[in-house]
Parts: sequence; structure tokens; C-alpha cells
Amino acid sequence: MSTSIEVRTKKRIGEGWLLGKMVAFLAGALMSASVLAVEIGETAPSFTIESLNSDETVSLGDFKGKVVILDFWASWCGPCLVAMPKLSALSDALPKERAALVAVSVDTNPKRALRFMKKMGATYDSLIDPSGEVAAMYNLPGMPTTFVIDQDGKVAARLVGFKPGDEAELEREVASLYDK
Amino acid sequence: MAGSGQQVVVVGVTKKVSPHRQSRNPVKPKRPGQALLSLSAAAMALPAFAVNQPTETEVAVKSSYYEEDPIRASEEVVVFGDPERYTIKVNQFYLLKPIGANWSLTFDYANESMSGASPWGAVADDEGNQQLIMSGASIDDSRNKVEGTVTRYLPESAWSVTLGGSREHDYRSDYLGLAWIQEYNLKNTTLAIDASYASDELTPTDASDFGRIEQADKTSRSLAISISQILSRSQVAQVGYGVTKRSGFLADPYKLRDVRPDQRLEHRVSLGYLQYFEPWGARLKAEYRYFWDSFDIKAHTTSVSLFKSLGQDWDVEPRLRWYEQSEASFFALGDRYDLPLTVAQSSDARLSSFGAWSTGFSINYTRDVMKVGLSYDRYVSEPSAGIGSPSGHRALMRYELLSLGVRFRL
Amino acid sequence: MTSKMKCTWLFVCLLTLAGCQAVAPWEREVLAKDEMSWTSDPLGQTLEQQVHFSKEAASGGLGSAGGGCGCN
Repeated sequence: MSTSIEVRTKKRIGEGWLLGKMVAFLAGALMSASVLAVEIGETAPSFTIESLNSDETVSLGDFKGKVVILDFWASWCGPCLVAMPKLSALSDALPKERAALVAVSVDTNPKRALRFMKKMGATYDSLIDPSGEVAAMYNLPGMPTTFVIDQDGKVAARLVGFKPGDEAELEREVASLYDK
Repeated sequence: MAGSGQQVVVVGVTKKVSPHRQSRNPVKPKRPGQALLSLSAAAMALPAFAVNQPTETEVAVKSSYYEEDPIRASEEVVVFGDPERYTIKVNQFYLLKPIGANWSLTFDYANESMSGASPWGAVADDEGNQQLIMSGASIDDSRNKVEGTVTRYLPESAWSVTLGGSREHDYRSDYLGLAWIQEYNLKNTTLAIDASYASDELTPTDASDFGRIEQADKTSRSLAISISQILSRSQVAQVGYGVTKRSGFLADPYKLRDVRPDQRLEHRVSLGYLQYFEPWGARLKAEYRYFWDSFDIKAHTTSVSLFKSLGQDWDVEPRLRWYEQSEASFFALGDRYDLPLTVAQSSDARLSSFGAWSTGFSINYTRDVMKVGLSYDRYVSEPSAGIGSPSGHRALMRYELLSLGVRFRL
Repeated sequence: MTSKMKCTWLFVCLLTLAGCQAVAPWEREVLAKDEMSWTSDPLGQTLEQQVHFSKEAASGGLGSAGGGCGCN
């Protein structure tokens, strides 16, 4: 009699475990759907994080009134490194009083990120988000992800990934916002 | 199997073996559909064949030296022929190039030159002791293989087409492969489907002198599906299933007596696991494969490797592999000349029951765009360690493989 | 174990895998490492598989897709 009870209990646990896994799967699917990436038209979440190249801390709010190219990158991301020289040229060409490039590295090792910036000859500074908090706030859909944020802090464009030629598209998007 | 009072006839080969005559190179497509393996291995081994276009051009060259241990040169084991086995030199070249924004091209070339001897046949007494008939003298041969793959990348998927061929003086193989990869679940789950077709032609040398077939064809068709799943920031698992159908002349035309079915259906289920240990800068890889086919062969393959960084520029990777298989239903320890040619039989060691240990390591140095690697592997077969009763074959393999390679990422 | 139980376990395993917490795109630093790919040495793997194929009755195995940096 105790054996049959054990068997019933095991079966119940087995069924419960299977059901639990199915619920976890559905919950996971729903959860990932519910935390959406920051979309065009939304206000870009504000943040304050440290600079990679100096001891400063920088906030997104420091750039209010300017068009901001917010680029999330990492040293382990191939397309990010391809983008770097092109973003350098783009950054150099931006009118400093009207626009700014704000790069944020999600590397967990700041030294590694700095080493790659030097190796790729980046002419701009970057911020560092080693815990991934800012990346999570923006719920980046991929790496790299670049947002174009207008003078009022709203997302005007979003670019996921980077292919040669994307820098021209970014430049056009930024220029179109100057007359807003 | 030998025994039961049968009359055993030892075939003595008196004709001098001419150069370029036999191509018993273990690393070339003498076995049915071996070129298909090259295709499968290369197509599935491309690191760029992820869903994402590679961002760098990669060029790699590798030179390898392979040497088998000689068979014990006693009269008890080798009744005729050269106990020395094969030595092979292999040179490989690999190029991977991104093209435009959405394409990549891969080119693969290999050249092998080999010399040595291999078993032509075998006899066995009533107690199951085998004696080998080896090819008469050292044989020299070479093989060239060329393969190209075009890959198209889409936002969350990629597809590729591979064409390849290999040539040697008595063997030709041409093959085509198609593959598709799709990502799901924020790129945490990857589904891959591969299909391939190979067409081979054998034209054995000295066919009329030795009563061999003058020409034969065979084809191989394969389909494989695998799912890879990221389990955490430092763990990945993979499960796969593959099926291959081989048709046509599947026997070894250079064996004195080798008759095999004209169809072979193979299945394999594979599991893989990767785990990175961040505090130690080390990675564990474990893989397991279960194989079974219509020749009644079953096999288990288990391999483990540990990658360890040593500072910024060096890394080492020791590895271990264990393999065991059962014998084919028509395996015969000694050639059965009493059986008609319509009855399947083969004394080929590769169809016998055996186990094999393989140990090895790689050591790599990376500097800027260049990576230099040296690797060594030692493979030892154990006739008594297979699945089921040991076959007792005496031509089981032991070999060493040494490779030196350089890779550039530009 | 009956074939029905085997199927159930396989299904559960697959569900378990699918129900894993997805790793976000910015968390793939370790997964992007060379050594975390199924094949970091294509020439070496091709050669090794060819050699084994010529020695052993079994052939074929896992593909190499999946994992990696997942970059766009």
C-alpha cells in the first residue's frame, strides 16, 4: 500500500514538474515580450554613468537641446569594431553645438574596452556600463544598437546592427533633425 | 566467421606492386562517401556559418603529418606483405571572406600525399586467430580536394550552398550541400538543417590483373538537423540527429574478398555541451554521439576537451576521446572463399568490434591578427574494448597526428 | 524505460531548454569568445573527422551553429 502511495506521489511530482516547466517556458516567452525595446517616438530613458576615458560621470540630460547619437557597443562585438572608424569620422564632422555622439560600452572589463578603442583609432570618448543596467533600460534588441535622439529627448531613429553605409544614414537622420 | 572445418585458401600475390597502384590512404575517399564527410565536416565546421556575417577576412594554412604504427612483423600476424602502415602528409588552405553587406564566400583546398601498405585480406584458424595478407610493397598516392561555399545572411537566418570535389587517380567524388540556419528566442535558440548529396566513382588500378571491378559508382544522401540552445551567459547545449543513405558499390575493391550490401542506412544522435568558467579563463566542451546503421553496427563516441588561457597570448587545449563499436553483421575475421559472391562478407578491420582511445593537445599563440597553433594526437585501438564480443582483428589502428597551422584575421 | 517514457523525457528536456531565461544581446561577452564556438579550428576539425572516418564505421556528428555573440 505504501508503494502505491509513493508511485502516485512520484507521478504527481513528475506531472507537476512538467507543468511547472511549461509554465516557466510560457512565462519566459511572455516576459521577454512584455519588456519591449525603446521604440521610435518614446522618450529615451535617462541615465548617469562613468566615462571610460576620464574620471567624469556623464548624464544623457547633459546633452538636452542637442541631437544625440547614442551608440551601444562592446569589444567582443565584430560589427561594433567595424563601426568604430566610421563613427569616428561621423563624430568629427558633427557640429559640436548642435549634435553629439555618446558611445556606451557594455564590456564588463573597462580596460579591455579602452584597449580596443585605441586599437581601432576611435577619436571619440565612450561611457562604460559594465553591469548592463543602461543596456537593460533600453532593452537593446541586438548588438550594436544605435539610437538617434532629438533635441527634446525623444527617440527619432533606431539602428540595430551595423553595415558599411549605415554611417551615411545616421548622418542624414541627424541632419534632418537640425531644422526641427 | 572462420571455423567449422572450412578450407582456407591463402592467396599469394606474386606480381610486383607498381607505384600509384593502390590508394589505401586512410585520409582519402576510398571508403564510401568519405567525400561526403569532408563536405559535412567543412560545411558544418565553418565558424562563419552563424547567422551573422563575419566582419573579418580569415586565411588559414595547416600542414599535418600522420603516421601509423607498423603491424607486429611476426609470422604469426602477417602471412604476406609489408607490415609497415601508412604515412601521410596533408596540406590545407582555408579562406573566408565577407562579400558586401549580406554575403560571404569560403574556399577550402587540401592536398594529401601518402605512402604505405594496408591489408588486402585475412585468414583465420579454428581458434579465431587471424593472419593478415598485406599489400606487397609501399604505395605512393596523392589526393586533391577543392570546396567552395556561398552564404547569404538575412536578419535572423542564413542559408548556404556548398560545391566540392576530390580527385585521385582511381577515385573521383563530387558533392553538393545546402544548409539553413534560423534563430529564435532573441537569438538564444538556433535551428540548423543540412542536406547533402555526393556522387563517387571508383576506377581501381590493375583491375583486370587482379580480377577487380573496373568501374563502380556510389551515391550518398544525408540530412541532419540540430538545435543549439544558450542555457546561460556561459553555457550552450546542442542536440542533433542525422541520417545518411549510401547506395551503389560500397565494398573495398582492393580487398581480396569483400562483398557488401548495395545499400547502407546510417543514423546518428549527438549531444554537445559548452561551459565557460570565468574565474579560471577555462572552457569545458563535452560531446557524445550514438551511431547505428543497417550493417548492424552500433557505436558510442564520447569526447571531452578543456581549453585554458595562459595569459593574453597563449592557450592550451588538452582533449580525450573514447570510441567503441560493434562488428557488422557480415564481418568475417578470415576471408570466406567457400561463400558465393552474392553473400556479404568482409574482413575489413573497420567493420570489426573494437574500442579506441585518443588523447591529444593543442597549444596556440595569438598576436594581433595572427594565431599559430601546434597540435598532437595519439590514437590507440583496443580490439577487446568494443561493443559485444571482441572480433580479434589484428590490423587495428594506432597512429600519431602532428599539425602546425597559422591563421590570419584581417 | 519504455519508448513512451523516453519520448516524454526528450520533450521535457527540450521544453526545459526553451524555458531557460534568455540571455540578452548585451550579456553575450563570454559566448562571443572563440573557444565558446563548436568549431574554432575548421581545418583541424575537418582533418580529424576525415581521419576518424577512415578508421571507424561511425561518421557524422554535430553541426556548429548556435551560441556566439549574436551580433547583427
